[in-house]
Amino acid sequence: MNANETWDPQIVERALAAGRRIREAQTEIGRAIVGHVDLVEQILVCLLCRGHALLEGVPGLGKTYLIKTVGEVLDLATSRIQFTPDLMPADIIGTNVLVRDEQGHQVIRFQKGPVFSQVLLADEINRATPKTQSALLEAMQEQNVTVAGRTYPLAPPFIVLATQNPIEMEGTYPLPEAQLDRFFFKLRVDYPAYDDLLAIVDRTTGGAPAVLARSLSAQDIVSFQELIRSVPASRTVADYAVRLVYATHPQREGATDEVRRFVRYGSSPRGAQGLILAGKVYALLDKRFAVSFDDVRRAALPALRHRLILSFQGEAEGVDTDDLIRRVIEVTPEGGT
Amino acid sequence: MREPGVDLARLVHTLELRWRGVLLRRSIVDALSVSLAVSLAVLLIRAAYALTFGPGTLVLLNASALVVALLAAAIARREPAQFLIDADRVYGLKSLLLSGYEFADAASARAFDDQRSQFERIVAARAQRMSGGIDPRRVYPARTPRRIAITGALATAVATVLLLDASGLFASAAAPYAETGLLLEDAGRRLAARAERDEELLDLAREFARLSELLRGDQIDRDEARRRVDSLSDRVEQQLRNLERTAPFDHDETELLPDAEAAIRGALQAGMSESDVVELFVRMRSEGETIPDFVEALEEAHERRPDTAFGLDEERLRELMEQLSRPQPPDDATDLTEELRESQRVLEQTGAGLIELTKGDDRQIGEALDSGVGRDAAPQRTQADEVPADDAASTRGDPGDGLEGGTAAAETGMDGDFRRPEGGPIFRELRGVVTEGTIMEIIIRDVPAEATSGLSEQERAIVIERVVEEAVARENPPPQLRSLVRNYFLRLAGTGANDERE
Repeated sequence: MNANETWDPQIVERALAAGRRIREAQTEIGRAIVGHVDLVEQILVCLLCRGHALLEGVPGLGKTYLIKTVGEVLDLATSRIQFTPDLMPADIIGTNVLVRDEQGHQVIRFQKGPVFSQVLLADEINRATPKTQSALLEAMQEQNVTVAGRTYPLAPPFIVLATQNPIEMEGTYPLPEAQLDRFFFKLRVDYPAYDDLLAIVDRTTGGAPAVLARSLSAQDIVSFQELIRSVPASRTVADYAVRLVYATHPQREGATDEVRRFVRYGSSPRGAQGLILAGKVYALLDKRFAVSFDDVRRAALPALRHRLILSFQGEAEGVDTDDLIRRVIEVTPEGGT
Repeated sequence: MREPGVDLARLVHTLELRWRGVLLRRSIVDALSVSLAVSLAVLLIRAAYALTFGPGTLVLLNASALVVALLAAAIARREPAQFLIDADRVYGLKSLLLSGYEFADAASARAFDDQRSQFERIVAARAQRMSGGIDPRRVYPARTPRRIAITGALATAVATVLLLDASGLFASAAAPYAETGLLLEDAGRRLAARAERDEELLDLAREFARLSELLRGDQIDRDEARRRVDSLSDRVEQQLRNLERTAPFDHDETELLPDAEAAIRGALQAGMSESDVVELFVRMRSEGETIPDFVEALEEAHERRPDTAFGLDEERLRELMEQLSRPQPPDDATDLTEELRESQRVLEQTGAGLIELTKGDDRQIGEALDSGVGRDAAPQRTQADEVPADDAASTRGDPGDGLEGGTAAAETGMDGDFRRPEGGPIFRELRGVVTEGTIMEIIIRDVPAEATSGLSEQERAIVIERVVEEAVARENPPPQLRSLVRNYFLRLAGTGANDERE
C-alpha cells in the first residue's frame, strides 16, 4: 500500500451515507408525487448544489404540490408567492415598517417578506414585472437580502423553485437572460404517463393523503452541500464539460452546424459550473467519488437548455434547445481527440 | 496470464500496444483494399488497352500500400487518457480508470484540499485495483475489419485476372499485335534473303525483326510502335526510290520502240481506246513482258475491235512512247522492289492496326480497318499473285507503272462520266483516332455505287483508281492509313477492294 492508498475511512462512510439518505428522501417524495422521478431527483440535485430551479410546464401538472412536498420531506421552511403583474418587490423581500416596541417607542422594524424561507415557490414567475422579478436576484445569488442599506442573510439551505407556463404567454414578462442564468437548472414538467395519471387519479380522489416522513434536515443538506463540493472531477472530464459549453457558442470551434444556424449566444460559464457540480451529485448518488462523462452528460440538458439564446431564425423555426444540446453531446468526443 | 499488479501506467502502455496492433491490421486491410482495387483496374486497363508493364508494377503498388499502412499505424498518436476512456467505456467503469490515472499524479492530488485529496486517493486506489482485471483484447477486440470482405473479393479478382493472364486467355488482348508482329518478322526475313550484302537493307531487315519482337512480346507502347513503323516506312520508301534510280537500262528493248509505236498507232487508229492500250501496257509491264510481247498483244487486241476511225492524238502517243521507253528493271531488282513493296504494305497494315478507334464508331469503318489489319494481312501476300493482272496493277498504285498509266488515261477527260458526289445529304460520318490528338473524319455524302458510268469496266477501274489516288493525295492521311482509305473507296466503287476481300 503506497501513500496514495491512505485515506480516512470515515469519509467513505460519510459519502456513502449522504448518497443513501438523499435516495431515501427521493423515495419519500415519490410516495406523494406519482411519476416525475427524474424531476424529483433534479430538484434535489439543484438543492445540493446550492442552486435554484425553474420549472416549466402547463398548469395542473402538480408543480406546486411537488415543491411543497419537497419542503415537507426535507423539513425546510416553505413559502409561496403567486406572481402577478401588480406584485411589488417589497411583497417578496419585505419592507421596513413603523412599529411600537415593548417600551412603547416607535421604531422602524424590518418586516421579512416570503423570501425569508428555505424553499421559495415563485409561482408563475413570468407574470410579474421585470422589476419585481429582479428583486429575487440578490436572494438567489448572494443568499441574502438588502433593504434600506441593511443586509439580511437567508437561512441555509435556500432554494428558489420558480414555475412558468410555456403556453399562455399573453400578459407575461419573459425572464431576462441575467435572471434565467441564475437558475441552476431549468426543468421541464411533462404530462404524466398513462399509468402515472391513473395512479394520480387514484391517490387524489381517495382517502387522506399520505403522511410523509421527514427524511433530511436543513443541517444534513448543508453538510451534504459541502461534501459534494469535495468530490473531484478529473481534468479530462472537466475539459469535456468545458468543451460541451464551448460547443454551444456559434463562433467557437466545435460548434455544430445547428448551433451556428440557430444560436445567438451559447451557455454562460455558469453552465460549465452546473455540469460539473451536478455531476458531482450524480456521482455521489451512484456511490462513486469522481465525476464521470456520463454524469456530465446527464446534467447537460437541465443545466444548459435555458442558457442557450436562440437567434431569430432559431426562434422562427421553433428550434428546441434540447435538440441542439443533444447534437452537441453527440459530436463532442470525450477525450478531445 | 496477466500480472495482478499491473498499474495504471502499465495498463496505458499495454492498451496502446494493443490499439496500435488493431490499427495496423485495419490500416493494412484499408490500404490493400485500395491498392487491390487499383491493381484490378490497372490489369483490366492493361488487357483492354494493351499497356505495357509487368507484374512488378502490381507488386510495387501493393507493397507501397503496405508501407503506407505501416507508417500510418506507427505514427498515429493518442493521448494516454483516451486508452483509459475506452477501457472505462468497455467495462462500464464510469471514468474510474481515467480519474484514477489522473488523480494518481501526486501533483494533482496536492493541489486540492484534504477532503478532495482523500476522494482522489480512494479513486486512484480503486482504479489501480481495477486495472489488473482489464483485458486489452476486450477493449480493442481484433474484429474483422469491415473492408476485409471487399479486400478478399478484390484479391480474388486480381488473382483470377492474373491466372487468366498467365494461362494466355488474355494473350490476344495483352499482345494485340502479335499477329502483326509475325507479319513483320516474315517481311523482315524475306527482305534479308533478298538483301544479299546490302548493309542498308540488312539493317532494315533487322529493324523489322526487332519491331516484330517488341510487338509480339507486348514490350512497346503504341506511340513508340507507330513512330518506328513510320520510320521503317520512310526507309523502305527511300530504298524503293534508290532502286528505281539505280535500275539497269536494257538497251536491247529501245531498238524495238519504233515497232511498238507503230503497233500503238495502228491500234488507236483501228478504234482501240486509249485506256485499253494503257491498261494493256500497264499489265504487261507489271508482268515483266517485253516490247515484242506488248506489240503482239496489242495487235491481237485491236484485231478483236470493230474498225471505227478515231482521231489520233499525237501528243498522247508521244507520252505513251516515253513510258514505253523507260527501262525495264532486271528480274532480281524487280523481285527486290516487290519485296520492298510487300514490306511497305505490311508496315501500312501494322500502322493501321495501331490505330485506336473511338467508341461507337460505325461498323463499316471497323471492317475497313479490319481489312487492313491482321485478317487480310496474310492473304494479301498471295492476292498479288492470284488477282487478275489489271486489278493487281490498279490496286498497287505503283507510280512507276500502274499509276502513271491510270493518270494518263484520266487526262483524256473520261472522268466526266464518273462524278464523285459532293455536297448533298451526309450519308454517314465516321471518326477515328489516328494518333493522339489527331482525329480523322470521313464523311460519306452518298453511296458511290449508285453512280452511273458509260465507260467499260476496265476504263472505269482506271478512272476510279485515279480518283481514289487523288483523294488519298488530297486528304493526305497518315502513311499507315493510305492503303486503308484507298481500299475503302475502291470497295465503295465496287472494284478492286471487293475482290481483294474475297
